[in-house]
Amino acid sequence: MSKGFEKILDECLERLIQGESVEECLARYPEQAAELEPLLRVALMAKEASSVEPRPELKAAARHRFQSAVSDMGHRRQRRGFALRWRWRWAMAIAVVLLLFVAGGSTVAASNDSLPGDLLYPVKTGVEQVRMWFATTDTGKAKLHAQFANRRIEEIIRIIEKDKPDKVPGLVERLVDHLDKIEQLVGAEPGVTVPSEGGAKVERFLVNNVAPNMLSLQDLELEKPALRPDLERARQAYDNALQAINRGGGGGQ
Amino acid sequence: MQDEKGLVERAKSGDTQALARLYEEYFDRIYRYIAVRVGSRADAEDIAGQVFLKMLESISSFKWRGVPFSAWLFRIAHNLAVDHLRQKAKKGHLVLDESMAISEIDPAVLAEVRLNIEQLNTALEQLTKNQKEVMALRFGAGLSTAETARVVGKSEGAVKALQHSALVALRKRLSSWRNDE
Repeated sequence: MSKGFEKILDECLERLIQGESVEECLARYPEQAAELEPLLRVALMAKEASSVEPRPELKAAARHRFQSAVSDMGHRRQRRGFALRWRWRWAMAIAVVLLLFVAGGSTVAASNDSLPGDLLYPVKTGVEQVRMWFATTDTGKAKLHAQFANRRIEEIIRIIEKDKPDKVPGLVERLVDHLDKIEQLVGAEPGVTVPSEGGAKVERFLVNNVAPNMLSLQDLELEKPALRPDLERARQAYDNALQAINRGGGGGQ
Repeated sequence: MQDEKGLVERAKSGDTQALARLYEEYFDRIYRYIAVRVGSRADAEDIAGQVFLKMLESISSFKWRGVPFSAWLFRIAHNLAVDHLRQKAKKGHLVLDESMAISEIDPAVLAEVRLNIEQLNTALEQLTKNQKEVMALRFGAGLSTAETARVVGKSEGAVKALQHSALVALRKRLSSWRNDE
């Protein structure tokens, strides 16, 4: 049997399955018709014999069982997700408490001055993460993000002073992330009012504590032209966060 | 199916609408494939239902590794059909089910169709495992040669050769009946 014939047979079978008649297939290949016809007739018989449909009542019952299983799965996932989130939070909290117990509060205090690349820097960011998990309100979270944004700016300034410019993009990324989160938490679309008290508190912190450091960053933009794109990005994110708070009505102090 | 990948990804994350669409899209084809493999309409209904429950259990672990979702689903169906046939063979009552006849067909030709089905099923038992699998996927599920190749894990050329040899073998089995006709 030649491969050429198998190819022709396959093409005819494909057409037969799609609903073309045996005669139409044979008309396409008159030279192979004699060899093709008996096989196509058998194929047609197989196709027709296989054209069974499930009984509607049993199909409906199977669908019902499937839908029930889907619904059960959804509930299980929800419960599992909730339990896992809380288990994870508590596990981390316990880990931090243990760390404090073993290493002492002085370790955490010492980590406050650490910079990316230092041994204690993961302790610093880990403690920030845990503090964030336990903030329950949007305003509380936004205030923490503002504090941590300020820390990132201070770190950027110190790391540039230490002449480690390769660490700057990573820090800017984290800074922008904090500022974006502030925008999401206490900013609002035009015309939508956010709790002015929360927005105002965050804005006050940004203006009083973060703005002076932002000015230092602007000076560094001039001194370190190679870092300008990253630093400009940081400044833009800061401006956006402030604008978002004011747009939502948080500017009234 | 349009954007099957997106649909499957949504189903993996537990989207009930996506799961329902996959069910509607594949149920009948899976049912026909199993019906051809096990030769019993009632068993096929039961096993097709199990295929989708199995899909639900395992879809979160499905990964796109060059194998389409349909191939993955038909493999589940294949495994369940084979398990079923093994159990039946152990019990010693692997019988053909006449309820496979098409219920909607004109009664005047029903007898002929039933005969065809019986002979076809008997003839299928004489084929090799791979030939039977290819016949069920091509004519039961209506898969293309390329799709069939992915399900059975063979090249398209091998599938074409298998369907060719299967049809030749079937023709031999059915020739006496055809001559009588």
